[in-house]
Amino acid sequence: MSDHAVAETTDAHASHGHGHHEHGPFQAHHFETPKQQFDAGKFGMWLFLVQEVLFFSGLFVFYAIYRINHPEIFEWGHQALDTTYGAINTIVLLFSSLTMAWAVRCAQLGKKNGLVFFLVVTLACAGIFLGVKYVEYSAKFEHGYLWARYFNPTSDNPHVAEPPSISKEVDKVVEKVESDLGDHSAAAHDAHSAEGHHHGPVGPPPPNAGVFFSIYFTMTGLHAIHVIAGIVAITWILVRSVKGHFGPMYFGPVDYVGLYWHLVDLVWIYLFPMLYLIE
Amino acid sequence: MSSTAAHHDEEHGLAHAMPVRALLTVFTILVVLTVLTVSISNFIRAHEQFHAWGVPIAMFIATIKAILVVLYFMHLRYDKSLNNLIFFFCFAFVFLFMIFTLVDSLQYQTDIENYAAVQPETPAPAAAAPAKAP
Amino acid sequence: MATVDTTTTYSPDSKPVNYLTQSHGFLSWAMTLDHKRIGVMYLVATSVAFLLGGTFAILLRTELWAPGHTIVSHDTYNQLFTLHGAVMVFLFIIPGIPAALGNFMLPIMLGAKDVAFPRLNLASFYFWCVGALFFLSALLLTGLDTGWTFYTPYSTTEYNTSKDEAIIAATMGVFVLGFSSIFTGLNFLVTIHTMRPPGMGWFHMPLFLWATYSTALIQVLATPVLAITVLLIIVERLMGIGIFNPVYGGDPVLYQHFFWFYSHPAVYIMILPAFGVISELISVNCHRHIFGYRFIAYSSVAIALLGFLVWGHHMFTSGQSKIASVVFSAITFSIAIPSAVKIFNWLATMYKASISFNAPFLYALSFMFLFTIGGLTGLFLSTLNTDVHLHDTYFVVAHFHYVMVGGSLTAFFGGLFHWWPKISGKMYSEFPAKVSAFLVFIGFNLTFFPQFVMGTRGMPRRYYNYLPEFQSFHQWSTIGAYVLGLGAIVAFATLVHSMFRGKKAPTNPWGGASLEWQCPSPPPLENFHEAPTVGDCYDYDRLRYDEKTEGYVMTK
Ligand SMILES: [Cu+2]
Repeated sequence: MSDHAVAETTDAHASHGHGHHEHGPFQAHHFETPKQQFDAGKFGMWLFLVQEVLFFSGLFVFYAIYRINHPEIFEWGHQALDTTYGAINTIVLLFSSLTMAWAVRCAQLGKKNGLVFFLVVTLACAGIFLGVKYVEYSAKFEHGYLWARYFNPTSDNPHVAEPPSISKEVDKVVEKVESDLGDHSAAAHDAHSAEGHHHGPVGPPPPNAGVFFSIYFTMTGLHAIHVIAGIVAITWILVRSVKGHFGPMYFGPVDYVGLYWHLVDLVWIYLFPMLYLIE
Repeated sequence: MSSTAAHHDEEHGLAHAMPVRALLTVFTILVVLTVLTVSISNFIRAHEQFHAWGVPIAMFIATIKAILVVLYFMHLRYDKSLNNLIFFFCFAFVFLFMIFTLVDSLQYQTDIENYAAVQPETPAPAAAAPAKAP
Repeated sequence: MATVDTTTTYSPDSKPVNYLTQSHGFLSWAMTLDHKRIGVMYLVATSVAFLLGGTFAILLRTELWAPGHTIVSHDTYNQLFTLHGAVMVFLFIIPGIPAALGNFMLPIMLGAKDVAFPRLNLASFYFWCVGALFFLSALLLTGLDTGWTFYTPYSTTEYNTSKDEAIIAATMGVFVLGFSSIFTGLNFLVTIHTMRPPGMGWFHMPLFLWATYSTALIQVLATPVLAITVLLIIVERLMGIGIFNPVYGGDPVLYQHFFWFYSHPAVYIMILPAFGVISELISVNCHRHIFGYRFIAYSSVAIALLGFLVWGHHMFTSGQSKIASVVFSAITFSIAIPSAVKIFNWLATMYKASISFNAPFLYALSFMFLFTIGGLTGLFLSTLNTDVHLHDTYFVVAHFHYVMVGGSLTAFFGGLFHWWPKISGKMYSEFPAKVSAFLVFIGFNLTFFPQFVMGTRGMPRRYYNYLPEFQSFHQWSTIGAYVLGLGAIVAFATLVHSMFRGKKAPTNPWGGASLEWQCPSPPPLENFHEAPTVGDCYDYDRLRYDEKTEGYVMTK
């Protein structure tokens, strides 16, 4: 075996000697070929995504357990979420996935302008997503649909029982959020409910209903943090694309960031039905 | 996808490049599935008798969407088998985590309910005393 | 694969430049991307953590010399055992062998120039440092007394003292350290997959690499669950989401599921690299091809995967349902099989071999003895009805110390002495090194064997006070801890002494056949001046002892 191995080693060594001076500007010195570098990076990225899947899995397990043991909390709580917003965000994120995949294609084919264009569109979609999320979160804060400790629905829905005790801290939080939002959103809300489209939960909240909003905020919050991280990563790629770093023999970073962005989309694909649709 | 014949031409440098038509087709299917899952959910909300189908249908559609994204947007279909293996393999661990935890939690749920049923009437120290009496 | 690189500053005429003399100054270390320097920084950092955790242990044992108050108050005692556990587990044992020795050895054993992602490697090290700072701040804030497991609801209750912040600081530390561990594992997996040299198939790799590979698999698959778990603790404390808090309908037992889904596999993060080290030590010092190579390689992977199926054995008495307990108990027994496969293969390797009884081999022998005891007492604990009696007693404490200290720590020292000539370029003196091995072995048994006896007689763990009948056991245990501490100090002193007074190390002092013994001691920046010969890494017939250099040389 060893003789054979020696022969192979020498071969690789000889061929390496030729290839050495053809190193691109972004090829790391410890890799033999661009292909090896690309494959290593890609495998590393997939392992990172595996890590992400298991990171999120904790919340999914948590969801499954509460969903099965206390379905009434979900049936009551999910009515506080607006399916329209969720659906819009789903489409926005799917579209951003499309543009990201298209950007990767442009990078692979060395089309710099296309790459820059699609990255900008992807960034814009990420911005829209977070904007919609902000509107949704504001509505939850306004109505006191908050996580367990601060859960304190103050809906205009007459069926909702008056909360037994309101801690001063909660008042402060709600007040602060309301003043932050200003009159604009309050007025918008009034108009909204006046039209009769208000989708507030029906009936008094079941015991521990706040857990639904704990799940809602932790899951979508963690997802939003990932969206923000994605925006940072895409911006980095965008800067490098404008500088013309990428081409058919070096587009790894675009591909890896793309994979990450698709994973963020993937998580949302599940979060949308789990939180907004299932009853 | 109809692109499988074309994809040999797209073999470019280090990895496979997705044809534009394939990307657009996948996106269209994803949008259609999103609309579908929302309408099914609305339908089930209006018809109580289908209530039990809500969760399985929604999760089934979500899984189809996820698989489409993974295979085409993430190129996994054209990627190395190692990357395929590691990614699908990790869901086995998620499944394991979920099943074991779920089985246990379902089992001891009755203990919690029994405890909760007794709890409001008798405070903890008082409850302990009669239990020891016989 | 390493090759002649025209940019290397090496030239045969001048004094050889190695990774230590390549460049100078603080920044040349702090900003280095060289896996060897990062490995050395990990070595120093984890050793400091070990000495810190060891100091806590000595204080704990001193306190337990007599019942009641001896040197510290009960609150301080609670904080001491928490920090001892947390520092030793998260700052020393988990990164100890893989991040320090693994970082240094893995690329060299592969004949590679570096790990796949050198920047990520450096980032992992700084994550470790940040995590350590959080631990330090928890220490300074005082009040952290949850134990290293941070069980809810104890860890999520509001105390309105500095304990609240200390818990957040410590869990934040665990979160950051988790990412350090994940990135190290990810780096190793990619390096082993993509950077093996031509001619080195999976079954031509040294067993240390199989062990680090299995470890890395666990690091990537299990650690993220710990990260989300401690993150939920932090969010619970800051915001009150009620996930683990019964006040809001949360479930504290669920926390234990989350925690042990990581922390049982983490036990194998601690012990698998040790197995790898021992395979190398035994084979090299027996000068004999490792027996049952494939079985040892597969058993590492088997342990890594089976380790994911047994976490519930930590929850037999915490309200886990009967069915889950029975299933977890049954699967736990199966772990004994791959562990025993290793022990028997090592024994078979030693059979009729001409053994060099040097310090690393003595550490390996003590590993085999101690790990076997640790492993077999694990079977008592996985037996459901026995565990109900032994749970939360000193028997458990003794069991896991036999595995983690008797196993991982002795392997760490053994590996450190074994590879020290390669790392430092200096030979340590054999006599004090052997003395340290004896002291560690005797001190260890003296510390923990009495704890088995105490445990079976009902002495609960983590207690400040105890009945007078346990005093003699506690005193033996305390004396043992001092001897163990002395042994560790002698070991470190021997190594430090060698840096200044040691003889220059030859390329291959022990007669190893894997690639790290083909590159100079210490290695140059990119490890190999010439492409190394990839052969059977356990074929010692190719080697011949050379009197002149006092090392081994390759004959064919
Ligand atoms: Cu365990």
